[in-house]
Amino acid sequence: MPKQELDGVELFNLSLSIVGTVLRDGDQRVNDLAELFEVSEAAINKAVMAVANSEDVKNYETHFYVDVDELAEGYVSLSQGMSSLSEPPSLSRRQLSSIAIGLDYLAAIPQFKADADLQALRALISESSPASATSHISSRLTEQIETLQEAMSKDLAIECEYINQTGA
Amino acid sequence: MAKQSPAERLFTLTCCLLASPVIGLSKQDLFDAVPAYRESSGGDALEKMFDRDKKALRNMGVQLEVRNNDAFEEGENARYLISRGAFVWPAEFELNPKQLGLVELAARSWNTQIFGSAARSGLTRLKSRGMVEIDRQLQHISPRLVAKHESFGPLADAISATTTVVFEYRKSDGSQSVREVDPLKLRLIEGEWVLLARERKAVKNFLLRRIVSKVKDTEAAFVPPGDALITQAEQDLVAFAASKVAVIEIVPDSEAWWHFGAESEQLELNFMDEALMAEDLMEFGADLKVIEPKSLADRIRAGFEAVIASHA
Repeated sequence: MPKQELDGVELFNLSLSIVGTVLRDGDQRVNDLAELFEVSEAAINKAVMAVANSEDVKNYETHFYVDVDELAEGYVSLSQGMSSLSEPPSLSRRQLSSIAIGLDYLAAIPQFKADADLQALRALISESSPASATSHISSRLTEQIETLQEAMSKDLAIECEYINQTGA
Repeated sequence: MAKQSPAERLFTLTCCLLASPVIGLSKQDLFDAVPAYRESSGGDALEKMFDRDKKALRNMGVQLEVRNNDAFEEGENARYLISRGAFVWPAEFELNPKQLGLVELAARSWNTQIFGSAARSGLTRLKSRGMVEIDRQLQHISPRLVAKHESFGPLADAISATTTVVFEYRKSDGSQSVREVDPLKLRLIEGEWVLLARERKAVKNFLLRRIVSKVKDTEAAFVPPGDALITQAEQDLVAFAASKVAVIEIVPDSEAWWHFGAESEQLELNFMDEALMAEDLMEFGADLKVIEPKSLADRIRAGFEAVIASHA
C-alpha cells in the first residue's frame, strides 16, 4: 500500500527522483509515477509542485518549467529552465549503507545464498558495506520457512499443528 | 508567492547551489536567492534552518561543499557549492527487475526508522534510474533485520566515514570503561550484532548489547587496516562463536522446542557471551535445562534465585 504521508526531506528526495525520471524518459502519467515510487498520487503532485515552485528570487531565474495544466490532467511534463539539475544525485553514504546491510542480511538467508542476481548486486552496491551477517543456524525452522514461502509463492494451502499462547 | 514548503526550500537550495559560479555562493547569496530564507524573520531561526537544510542535503546524498576563507571553521566568508561531478552515477549502474526487487526487499527488511527511512529513500532514488518493473515474486518474503541498538546507526555512519568513536562498554563481569576505537565492521553473528574495531593497534570485537552509552563520533579520521587483518579478525570471531557451545535439553513441543527448531530433546547452541546467553535462555523458563557448560547453568540458576529473592 502506498505510503500516504511523506515528510519534507522524503518529498524533496521524491522531487529529485521525478526530475531524473521525466528528463530521461519524457512525460509521465502521475499514476505511473505513483506506482513506480510506491507513493500516493497526491504525493507525486506535491513533489512536482516543489519542482514548479523552485526559483532563484535574487536573479529572477526559474529552475524548471512545469506544465501545471497537464499536471491537473494527470500528466507530469517539465523542462529545464535555468537549472543544471538533470538527474538525481547518487546515493548518500547512509542510503548506500542501509541498502548494503539489508542485502548482506538477505545473503545470509539460506534461500538467497546462491542467488546470482543478489551476488551481482552486492558486488555493485555492497563493496563498502559496513556490515555483514553470519549464522550457523540451519535448522528445521529454516526448512519450515522455505516451505511456507514456497507455498505462498504458489498460492498453495498448508497444514500444520500450532500451539497458541495458552499452550492449547 | 506562497510560503515555500520544506521540500520546495530544499529543492530550490539544491538548484541554486548547482547553478553557482565556480567559487560558490556566500550564505547571504543563498539567503537572498531562496524564497523561504528571504521571507524568514532572520536571526538565529534562519541560521538554524540553514544548518538543518545543509544536513538534510548531505543525508540525501547531495555533496554540499563548503570552502572556507577562515582558517578553522565555517565563517561568514564561507562559500557553498555542489560540484558538477557530484551527480554522476557509475556508468554500469543498471539494475534488472529481479535486482530492484531484491533492493526493495532489503529496504523493507529494516525494522528501525532511521535506517529503514534511508534505505527506502535510496530505493526511490534507484527507481529513478529507469522505469524498470520490479519483480514481484519476492513480495511474499518479509525478512526482518533487527537492529534495535541505538548505537547501530552512529557506528555504521562512522564506519563509512572512517572516523574514530567513543562509547562506554560494560563487560560480562560488570566492569565498565570508556573505549575509543576505530570502527571497522558490524557483523550479525548468531543473532547478535558485533562491532569489529581497532583499539590501540589490536582488532577487537564489541557486542552492541554491551555498549551502555551514546556513541560519540570524534570526527577524527583514521586509516583502516588492510583487508587481511580484518578478514583474519572476522574468521577468529566466527571460530570463537563456533567454539562456544551450550548443550541444552528441551521439553518436546514446548515454545523453546519450536523457537530453536529442535529435532531431538538435546540441542547444541553456539554463543559468544555467556552472560547474555543466560539472559536469553531464562526467557524460556522450565522449557529447557542447560547440560553444559556448568558455568552457564550456574548463571541461570543464580539469575532465577535473584528473581525469587527480589519477589519473595
